[in-house]
Amino acid sequence: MTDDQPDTVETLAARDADREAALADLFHRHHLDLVRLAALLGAESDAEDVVGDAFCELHRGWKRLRSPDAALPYLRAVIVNLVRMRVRHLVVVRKHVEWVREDVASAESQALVRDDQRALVAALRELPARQREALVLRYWLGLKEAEIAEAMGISPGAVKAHTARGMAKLGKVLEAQSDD
Amino acid sequence: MTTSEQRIEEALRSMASGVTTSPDAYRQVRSRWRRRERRRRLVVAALATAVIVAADGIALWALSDAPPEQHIIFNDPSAR
Repeated sequence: MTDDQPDTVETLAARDADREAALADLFHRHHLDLVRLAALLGAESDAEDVVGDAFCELHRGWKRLRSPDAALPYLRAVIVNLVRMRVRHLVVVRKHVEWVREDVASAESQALVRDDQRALVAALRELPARQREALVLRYWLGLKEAEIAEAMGISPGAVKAHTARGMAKLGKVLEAQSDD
Repeated sequence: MTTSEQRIEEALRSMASGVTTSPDAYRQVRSRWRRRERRRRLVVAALATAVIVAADGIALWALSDAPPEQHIIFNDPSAR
């Protein structure tokens, strides 16, 4: 976002105040949903930390935003990226350390999942990152293909492909459940 | 929306409903971005100071290293 006024102490202070106010508003309206998004993408107990980092990134890059409306898509894209990096890091860590899956956040969310949903949730957790991202952004946030593409940093065609592959894998789990 | 899609949506909603946030999350995140901003400004100021000090040092060295009869700033060709 650009401001035509020249840089003086007063205008810079006013811009800082505007940015803080806009971020506070954004935070109070969307923080919980964004933390849930990060958790569903695989951040688990780090979800709040990831969202905090995303807000710090937004604070730093506020001037580069096209408009205030671009802030939420930007936050979603940063969260998707940060979670992807965290998951990649965990994969490396788990290769070198004997991993005991003990996660408070995931245990809490598992408690609210019905018995018939457990297999589906487990299958969702096992999906490759891109497929999981595409499905979460589509079926939990209800985003359109173009918005998902923007958040994931890929083309709408690739979103379609990831969604279809993810759905095919989950479809097998659902079929197996209906057979039982 | 198909049945499979509905079931996936329900499962995601159930998973998400178990995630909560800490009550002072905003205060924590705000102090984090303010701290980072302060650090960034400090680094920029330190770098600018370092560049100015280096430029001054080079200029002083060039001036003090020249012989007194050689005028490296004001050079009058007609004096030769």
